[in-house]
Amino acid sequence: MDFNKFTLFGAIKGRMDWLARRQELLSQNIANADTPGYKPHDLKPFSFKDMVQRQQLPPLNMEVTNNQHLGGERKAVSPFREVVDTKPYETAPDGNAVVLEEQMAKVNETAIQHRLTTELYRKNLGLIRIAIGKGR
Amino acid sequence: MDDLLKTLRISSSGMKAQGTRLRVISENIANASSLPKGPGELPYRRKIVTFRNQLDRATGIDTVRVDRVTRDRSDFGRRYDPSHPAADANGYVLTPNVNSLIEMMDMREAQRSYEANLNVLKTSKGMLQETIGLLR
Repeated sequence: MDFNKFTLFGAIKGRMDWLARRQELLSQNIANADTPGYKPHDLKPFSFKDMVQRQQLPPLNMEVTNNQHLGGERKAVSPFREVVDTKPYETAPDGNAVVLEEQMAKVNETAIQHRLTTELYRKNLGLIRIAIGKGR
Repeated sequence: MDDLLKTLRISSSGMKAQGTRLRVISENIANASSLPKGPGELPYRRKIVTFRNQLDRATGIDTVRVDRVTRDRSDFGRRYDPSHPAADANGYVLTPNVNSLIEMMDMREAQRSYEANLNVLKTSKGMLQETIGLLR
């Protein structure tokens, strides 16, 4: 039984991937809050279209045949589009456009959405348990 | 899950960079009254930290690190104290170019950035725990 074939599980998985990736970008922004010239990044909002017709792209990484080679990761293969904030709210004289408060709000938003998604997953699992007669 | 683990690494790099910055600030404050030993010698020169955004090629993430610690080129202060061993012919002693008000402000900023990174770390940890909690 492949759980990802259940539409809700597939959607939840996509959503959780997106949330984890967004959290990563936001933490990059906050870590670089004092780096001169740094522009904050964010992900394109996760839309319903992504949820229904999202195909998993195979990771095409470079082959490492010598331990001095760098494996790397192809950014383009990542299923989510990354955007740079072109109209920042405020830019410091050194060119840094990270507003800490804004980023923290986004981090909290991501955490709450993650919570919601995991709860949904749990609920859905409970429904399946009921369906197969194992109780809650 | 992998993205969330990367988040932890990014936030800790930010915390480390801010920690180094705090160390340099404390050096400045501690040496705020380090006067020269004899006439013609220079007093303590203020240190400045600059941050740099570093791409970790193996994982494709942007971490932050301290670029270099430079010296502040601004002018030294002067104080009239003819009895001091380092006083020049006119009775003036050069004082370090450390302004404790600026250092305190810098310190608050470093503290604020450190806290922001710490909060992101906590949030990411919570998200990881929720994900792991799905196994229960």
